[in-house]
Amino acid sequence: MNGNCFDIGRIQAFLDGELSHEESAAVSSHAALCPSCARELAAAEDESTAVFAALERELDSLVPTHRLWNKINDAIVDEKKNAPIRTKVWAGLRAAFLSPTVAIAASLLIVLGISAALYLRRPAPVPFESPVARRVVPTDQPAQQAANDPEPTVSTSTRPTIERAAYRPDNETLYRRAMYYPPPTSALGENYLPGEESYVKTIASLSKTVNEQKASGAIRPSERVSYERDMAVVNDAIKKLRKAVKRDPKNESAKQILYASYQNKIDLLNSVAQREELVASLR
Amino acid sequence: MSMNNLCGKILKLAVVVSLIGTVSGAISAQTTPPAKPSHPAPWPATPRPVWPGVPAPPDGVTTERALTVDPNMNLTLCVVEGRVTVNGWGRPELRVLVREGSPFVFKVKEKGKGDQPVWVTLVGTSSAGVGKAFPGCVTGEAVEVDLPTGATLDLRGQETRTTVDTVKKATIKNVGGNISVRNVSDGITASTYEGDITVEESKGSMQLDTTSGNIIAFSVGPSEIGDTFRVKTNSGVVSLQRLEHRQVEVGSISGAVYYSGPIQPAGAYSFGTNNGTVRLFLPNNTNCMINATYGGSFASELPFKRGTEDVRSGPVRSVNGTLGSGGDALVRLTNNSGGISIRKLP
Repeated sequence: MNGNCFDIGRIQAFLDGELSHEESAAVSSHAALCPSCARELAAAEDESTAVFAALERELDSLVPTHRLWNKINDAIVDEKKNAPIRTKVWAGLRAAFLSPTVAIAASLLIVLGISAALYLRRPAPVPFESPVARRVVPTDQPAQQAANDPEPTVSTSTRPTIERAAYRPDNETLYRRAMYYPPPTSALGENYLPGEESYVKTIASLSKTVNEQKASGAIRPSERVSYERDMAVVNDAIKKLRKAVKRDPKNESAKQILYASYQNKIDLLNSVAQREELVASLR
Repeated sequence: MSMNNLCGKILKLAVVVSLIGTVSGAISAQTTPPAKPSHPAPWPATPRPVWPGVPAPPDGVTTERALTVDPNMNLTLCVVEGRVTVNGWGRPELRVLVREGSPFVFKVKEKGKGDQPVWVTLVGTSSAGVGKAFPGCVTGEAVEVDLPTGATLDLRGQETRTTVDTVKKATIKNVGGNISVRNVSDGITASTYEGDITVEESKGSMQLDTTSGNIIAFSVGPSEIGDTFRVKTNSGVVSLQRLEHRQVEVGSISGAVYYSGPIQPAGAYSFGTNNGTVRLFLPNNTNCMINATYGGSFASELPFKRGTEDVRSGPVRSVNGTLGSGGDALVRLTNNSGGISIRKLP
């Protein structure tokens, strides 16, 4: 090795093609005369070949050059300068909330806020006073006498007076009151029999339809006579049987025919209503 | 040269104009209604009232059409007025004749595997009179339909006297007019609001409803286990003979109910009326349980073993008992104000 030998950095620059033409010529002429530098150059070349072979995939991808990076950065800076204030604010907030610390702090604040709101909105605490609670207030020689006596005794002369505690309806009582409904009544003001209400409601709904058809004259006179006669028969049966069931609720026979009569009435109303449906379908 | 070009253009223009005129004329001839008579009608046209039994006003057209169809086809038709006769035959062909009525066409709604129509609708094409009030329906003095015996019929009508013979399944809904059905092999649904229903020699599930007419059924039975027989009338009489269904439900409001025939083992029968008579004609060897609830009287010519009886005072009473050895058939009889009687079948 002589004084003109070059360091490894220069050799690497030579291999990477980073030296000028004159410098590259000087390095190559020196390596031709200097065995030590020739070995150094060969070793560096082998290393470079091995490294480039291993990183071939990464090196083959497009890598932006330094000039391109500068252009991109300039464009970002210009865009930031020209962006509206709303966008800047939103970007700032987003950047802030992307930080885990800020996000956790915000979550804690929200939870605390909701808890505080719920706490403030809760009803004022009411001291527990049962409706049946009683307070015993002795009239004379109160607790001291009891303390002096080793054993509790019942004194007939000092009868305690009993005061009823102030009644305050609790929520459960109010709920029970709200849940109380009077028994359902029929149109005549009488209570429904078990299972009767659904029949009555269905009949009321169908009767409305049939009455509209009767008013519009859609039912022929002969049909109407037949309908009215059958309806009178059914209504009479219902009235008679209902009275019987009210008198004797255990009369299962009367109940059976009563409900059959209700069903007959529904069928009768249905037959009139469906007739009009059929005519309408034909049209 | 320019003169020749001008003549050529004029010639081409004339040809194009004549072609357009021919095509538009042909289209307008198909779509525009016939021209009205120049003189006004002597009287304003008034709608004809519809009464049952009165034949349809003849439009004066008799139309007959035929179509090769699948043997198990479905036919849907709507008849406003007239006498409808439906007959099954052994040919895979649908034939319809409308006598003195409105014209019609077949509309194939679905075809089968062999490209044969399996669902056909009869569509009336009359645009005046009844055809205007009931679009798509046909009317006529007589509507005769011949279709394969495996066909299913769906008929809706306004005022029709309908007779159906030898089809697989029939659904008939009439506003008014009698319905007569026989030789149906797989179920009947018949409903009329003012007319009688007669069913004979038929099988399958049956639902018969009439508002003010009578219902007569004889020699009918199920085609499959579980087929039901349901009958409902408001003010008509129900008369049933030789019924083989095991699930029978008969209801009437002011009509009488008559049943004649054997009680099938393990059958469930229900006969009820609000204001009429319930009368059963049963063979001597009948075995069944009877549950009768009545407002009038209860009598039995057959030996009736009373089980329990409600003897309390009231508008209705009930009695449970058995005929013969009892068995597993149950007959429920309900009557509000008429009598219930069980008689020997002669």
